[in-house]
Amino acid sequence: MIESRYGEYGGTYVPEMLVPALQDVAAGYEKYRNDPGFRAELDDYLKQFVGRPTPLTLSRNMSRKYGFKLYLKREDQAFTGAHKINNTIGQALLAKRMGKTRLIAETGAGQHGVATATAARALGMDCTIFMGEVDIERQKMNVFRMRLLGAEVVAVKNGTRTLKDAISEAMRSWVTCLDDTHYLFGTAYGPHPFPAMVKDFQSVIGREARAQILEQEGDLPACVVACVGGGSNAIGIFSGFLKDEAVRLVGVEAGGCGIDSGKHAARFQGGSKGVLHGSYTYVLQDKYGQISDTHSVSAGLDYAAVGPEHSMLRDIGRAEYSYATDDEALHAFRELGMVEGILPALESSHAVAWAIKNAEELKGKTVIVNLSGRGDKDVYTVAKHMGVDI
Amino acid sequence: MMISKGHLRLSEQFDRLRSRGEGALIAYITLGDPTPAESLAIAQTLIDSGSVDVLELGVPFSDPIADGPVIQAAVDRALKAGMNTDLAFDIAGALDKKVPVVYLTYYNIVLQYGIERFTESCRAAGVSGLIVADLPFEESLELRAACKLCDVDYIHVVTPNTGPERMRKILADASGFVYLVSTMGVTGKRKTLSDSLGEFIRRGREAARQAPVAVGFGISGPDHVGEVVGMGADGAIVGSAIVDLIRDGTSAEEILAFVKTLKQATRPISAAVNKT
Ligand SMILES: Cc1ncc(COP(=O)(O)O)c(C=O)c1O
Repeated sequence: MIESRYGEYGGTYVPEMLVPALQDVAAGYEKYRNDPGFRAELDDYLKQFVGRPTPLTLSRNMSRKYGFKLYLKREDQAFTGAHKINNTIGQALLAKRMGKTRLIAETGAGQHGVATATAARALGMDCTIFMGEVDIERQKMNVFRMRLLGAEVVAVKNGTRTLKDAISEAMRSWVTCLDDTHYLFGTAYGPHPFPAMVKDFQSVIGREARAQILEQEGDLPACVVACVGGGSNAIGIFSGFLKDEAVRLVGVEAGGCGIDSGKHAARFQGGSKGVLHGSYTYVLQDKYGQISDTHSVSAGLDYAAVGPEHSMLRDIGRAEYSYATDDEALHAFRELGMVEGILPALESSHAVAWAIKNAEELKGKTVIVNLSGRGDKDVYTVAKHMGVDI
Repeated sequence: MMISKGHLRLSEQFDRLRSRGEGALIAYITLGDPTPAESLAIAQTLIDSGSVDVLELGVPFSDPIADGPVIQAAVDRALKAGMNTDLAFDIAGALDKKVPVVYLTYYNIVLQYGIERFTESCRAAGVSGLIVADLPFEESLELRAACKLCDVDYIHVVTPNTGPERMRKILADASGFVYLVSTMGVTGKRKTLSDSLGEFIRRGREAARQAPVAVGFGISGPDHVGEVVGMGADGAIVGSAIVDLIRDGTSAEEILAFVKTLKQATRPISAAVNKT
């Protein structure tokens, strides 16, 4: 059986109507996850369609400038520009084997929406994406990309009109079309079995990175860093190193305008234990349990709860969690572009920012930063912050 | 300020109605909508109407995934007006509860208040039952135990896709009444009820054994109430249709006139008419 709890975290806190649906997904996943035919098909798609393995690039100029050896795991080079596609291909192949003909998904930055729309097209499935109105406004290019891929994009107009409300709306919609539709959840979060299943499909990042660093460096890294939204790219790369106790694992959350401002999405800084969208974990909420409005310059990190396994890894001390502010992330975005010629996604820029900020401590060490996505989608946001009209 | 005199039992209320051959009208409002004070007045008006047999009070949660747009908007209005869990217990305590009052909420609200503190506050405020929209059977052990200790009925929810075995397992522990969700979807008014509802009510009744079953989601007017009671349900739950009236600032008289038509539909008039 696949795990439904990570210590006290996780679980299945959903309306009764979703329970049989989630049990079906869990049964399908259980049936196929070790099926050689399924794995071979997935591996083939990852290689031929997604373009895996992605490189592990030694960032020569940054290393020289900052005094530690910086490797970048290049998920920005995965097809469609982020790690999200590893999971969407995996779940879409599974859904197809389970007889589903349609995929629905939530999206924040639009990366998961694009990756789901892409997987749907590749496998001949229909696709509907739920996206908050605020996020539609800040990620126009990805919205149009989804439409070019034949997906229907539903604007979610209630609540804070961001990722949180898109997830609620996707769940509400799913119960009306369970027969033919799979809800392709985009991160290592939500009710069981999503955290376990998404981790499985993203663990290819960690497997590759570990083999690559051993080959290129002849040794394990001192530190592995990843940004944490729901937590899928982070758990994906961490999973390759969990057993290597000497490797320090660092998750970086969105510090927004600073923790004291209250405008952030750093669940481990200002959050407490609670339930949102099916999972018991660290949540940003008030004392009555009302979910807080969050803020981040990066839509993909702008969510009030964190994947349950991260809460456990933090409790047992296997991983540590820090944050980078909007300004630090924007600076890192420009820095990696100017110094190394790579524009990272604003989400990934948070991980880069942490490494830059901690350069002194990292001196002489080898560090892998998971570059979860590329920055093309964010150039409008960055231009706006620079006061440039494009 | 609490004038509650120990709560009325749901089972007694359903027994009384059964003996009269009537179904229960269960009316839902969101606490704090449009303001905490006004929702207290509306709740008391509904109790005093003589038409409402059980009053269901929504304790707002910011992210109500089982609710449609009408109740979502009511929750937003309530939270903007400063509604919170402490006020919910103040309101429940202040009501003159001539009929049983139950709460509907989401698990995080209970969890943050403290499970035992929540159920003890239910007892103190005279809340007879508790429905938690996002707490499936498997996760509910702790809360069910706390409810039992405080003599609060934990009301189970079953849905059209709850299989027979699972339904038996869940309803072995039924208390108060069983909430049958009429259709696959969220709360909100609907023009017609599902074709398979009769069969679902029959399944629910069978699995619930002696516990009463009430049907909710999409029950929009007297016709629907009459239909579900006619199909053998012990009660009908009307939510969004009443919340709609509150949103529109409808007068108390008009709301009372509406719930009166709902209540009439729970009485076996049509059967009596047919006989004469
Ligand atoms: C490029 C990129 N990185 C990271 C994230 C955050 O998600 P997760 O924490 O699941 O990796 C997103 C989400 O949209 C993203 O697009």
